[in-house]
Amino acid sequence: MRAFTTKYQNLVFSLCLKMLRHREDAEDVAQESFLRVFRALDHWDPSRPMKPWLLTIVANRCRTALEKRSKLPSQNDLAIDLESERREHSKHEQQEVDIAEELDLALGELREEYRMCFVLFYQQELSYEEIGEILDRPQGTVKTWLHRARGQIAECLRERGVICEASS
Amino acid sequence: MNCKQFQSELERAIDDRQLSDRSAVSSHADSCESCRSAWQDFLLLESALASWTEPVEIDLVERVIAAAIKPVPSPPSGGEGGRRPDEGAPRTSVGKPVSVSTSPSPALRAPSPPRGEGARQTWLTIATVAVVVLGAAFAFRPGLNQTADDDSPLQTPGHIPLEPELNEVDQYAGVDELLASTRSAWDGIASKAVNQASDLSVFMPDLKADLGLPESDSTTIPDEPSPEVSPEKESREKESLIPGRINRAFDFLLDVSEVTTT
Repeated sequence: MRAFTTKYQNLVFSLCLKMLRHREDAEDVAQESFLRVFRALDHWDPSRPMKPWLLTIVANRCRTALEKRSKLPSQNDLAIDLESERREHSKHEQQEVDIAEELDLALGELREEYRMCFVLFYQQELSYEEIGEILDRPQGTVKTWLHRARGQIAECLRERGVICEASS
Repeated sequence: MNCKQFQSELERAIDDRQLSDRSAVSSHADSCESCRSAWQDFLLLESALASWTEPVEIDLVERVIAAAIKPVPSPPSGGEGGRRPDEGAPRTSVGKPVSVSTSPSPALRAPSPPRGEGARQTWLTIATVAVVVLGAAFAFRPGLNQTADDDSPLQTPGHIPLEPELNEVDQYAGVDELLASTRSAWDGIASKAVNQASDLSVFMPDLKADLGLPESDSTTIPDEPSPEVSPEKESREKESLIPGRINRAFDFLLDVSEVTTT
């Protein structure tokens, strides 16, 4: 159990952090995901790779957490406040804003499916086939979602003026 | 490189997460206005992803193991089982219910009651209500307190007569009013019947005879036209017969109404 957690904790936590965009929430969901995995280890097929199976459970936990968050108005208000504050910051101090942070902000405005697809592809570096298995969608759908995610993120960054900074 | 090759090269770069022929793609984007924006977007996302995908370090081992060996808390005290002791007060965030009791998978959910149980409880409720209703109906049915040798009408303590009691004079006055209203109603019906069924007046003498009413002069049927009368004259005579028949029918119905009321 200890070795397993040590091996995959960064992988699980990074996905949770990118999906939830909240460190404490990500820790909680990562812990819950590990507990789920320990209980469901009997259902794992050793002939198949562990990483997609593990990330499937993590993705489901993240979805559940996002659904719960959507039902908490105080959390939404807090998130909106934080985002507006960060937007104001980005307006006035554009030169100092990290582009990765802008990407995180743009990612937060995506649909949940697009965000999950983007994170699994670029952060976890999974293939279309593996993402399709995790999200239970065909590869064509995954490819479409990723394309739309890229387009919306680029548009969002362009609206924030980040594109000019990167081009210059 | 043309625009189509540029697009396919860019898509391949996205799928493979690397761009093989960067110089060719870049030179085409510099020369093509329509492809330039796509190239700028690609470069922006590429640079953002380079810093965005930096690995995150976290140590969750002790926390996960502590939560794994801890028994499942009951719902009132749950939600803090997996938290580290140095995390302070509980948050009202989405991740607060860290324990395994939150949103379990379908296989881990508590077994729901069988479908037959709900149906049985429903039928039991219906049967109980039916017994109560029948009992109430039996308890308050009319004549329950009336004995066999009691010929008087039901006079239970709560009995309220539908009509107020009247003395003899008032009762006769009521009958007269009833007869008068019946007469007026009958007259109205009769007048409508005369208007709508004037052709039936030919049967009036027979009906009068059946009812024993006296024959009047107005009820005599005029002679039928002779065969030698012209058709125009015959039609005029027929038209002139209609008002007389209507009058006779009206008289007949008035006579009938008088007989009925008396």
